[in-house]
Amino acid sequence: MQSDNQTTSPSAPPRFKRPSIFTWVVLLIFIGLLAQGISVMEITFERLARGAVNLVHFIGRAIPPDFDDLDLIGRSMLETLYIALVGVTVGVILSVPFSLLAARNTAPHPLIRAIARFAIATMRTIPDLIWALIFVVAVGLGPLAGVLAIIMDTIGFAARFFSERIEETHPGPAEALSSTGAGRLSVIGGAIMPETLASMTATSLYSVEKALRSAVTLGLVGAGGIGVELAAAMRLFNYDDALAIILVILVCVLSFEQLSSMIRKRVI
Amino acid sequence: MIDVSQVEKSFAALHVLRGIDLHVQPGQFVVLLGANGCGKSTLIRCLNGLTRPDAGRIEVAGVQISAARRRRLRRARRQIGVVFQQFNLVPNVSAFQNVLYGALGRPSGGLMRTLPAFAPSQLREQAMACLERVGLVDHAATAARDLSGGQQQRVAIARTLLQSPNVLIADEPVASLDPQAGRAVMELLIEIVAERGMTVLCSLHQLEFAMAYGDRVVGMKAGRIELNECRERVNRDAMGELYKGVVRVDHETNNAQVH
Repeated sequence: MQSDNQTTSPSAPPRFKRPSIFTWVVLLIFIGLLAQGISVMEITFERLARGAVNLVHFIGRAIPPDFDDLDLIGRSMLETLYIALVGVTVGVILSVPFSLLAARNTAPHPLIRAIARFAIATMRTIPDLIWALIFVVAVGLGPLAGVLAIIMDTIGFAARFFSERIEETHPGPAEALSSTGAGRLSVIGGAIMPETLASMTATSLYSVEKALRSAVTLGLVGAGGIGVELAAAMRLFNYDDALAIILVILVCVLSFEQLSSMIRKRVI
Repeated sequence: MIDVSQVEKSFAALHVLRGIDLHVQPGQFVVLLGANGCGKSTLIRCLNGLTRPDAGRIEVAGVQISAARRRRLRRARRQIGVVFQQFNLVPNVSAFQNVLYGALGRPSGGLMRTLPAFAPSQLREQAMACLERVGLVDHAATAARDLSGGQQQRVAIARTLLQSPNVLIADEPVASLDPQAGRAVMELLIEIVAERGMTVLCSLHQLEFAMAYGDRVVGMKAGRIELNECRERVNRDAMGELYKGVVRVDHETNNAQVH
């Protein structure tokens, strides 16, 4: 009886599937590139050991952190906050028209949609540091270049999320408003915006967190804020000043993230 | 009031409307019957310009909808109220604001004038009167998504009341409601169109509603009009015929669905 059962029971799928040729090719290319990459780095035990010694040296000179210039650090941290806040506010406001032009259900014409999507993709693909380098050339050193870089970065990020959210809205309410004879802008403002507002607010708050982190680094290329002080301290080997700056950044960014996630939880 | 002649519509390979001819006299209440997928909704969407027919001519309230574009279409739409099966309220704004949206198409309208904060007090009073007519004054401030299905459809009717059209088209207005709420909403709709003297084309699934309320019954099957009689002359067998083929098809696909 039992053997009968065994012969008639249908065979289960094999435990392991043979990988496809595509998988093998991708795997081989990946391993090749990885090996090449590691050899380019010239990793040797001696270098790693020297690095560890240098790191201990740095830490030794950085501790205790030097908070003597706390008011200067505070002022430039505040400047960083302002760069992030102004940049994100302008960026989010500009993201709204960009996202409306880029979303399938609100774009006035497919060609305009393609252009808007391309513009947003360009702003997103070019990293914020490179935007900052470009704007430092254009408007000179200082916070304005940082603000402009954050604006570009925010549009690239927020306009994409906004337009995806707009495309997810239910078509019914918009159709109902159209059917009363409402114009295109009234339909967008009356049916689409109310449905997307909460998610847009959450995305905007996240943009501020993201912008604050990038505003810190933008100073490294001279675009204003606390990054300028950090770069200077490092270059002058004032590691105790540098550590103080890093600690201030840590505290500020962490507490802002807490605040922002608290607000986001209440919005959604 | 509604004049449809030789209307054709296809979606890709699917031929949904095959030469529809339909005439509705002013003040008539015409019920549109037919199984799911027979083209009722498409016909109704064509009447308001939400869908464009491939061929044929559609005239509603004196405007040739099938040829109207942009501003002319918008002006024509003010005269054509639509009640949808899924109510189509904006979910996260109040019932009151949803009613105010009925005035969006007015020449003096525009979004700013229909937001509760900026609407002229005369319009606000009109909107409240519409809510009162459908019995939802107490729910004016409630978000639309927090209302029951029957209440949402009442708000949608109030929105149409504020729009104050001459023609009303309704796409299975009670199909997503339970029988009790459906009957109440249907009775409200009938009273209101009688008060306002509206011309109505209303698609339904319930034969008893068709027999109770329709001045005329129009039956569609596979994109064609197969039945077009005044209520007194319609026999039940003819109405049953409209749904018959569908049951057979469903059996063939082993996807039995009884209407």
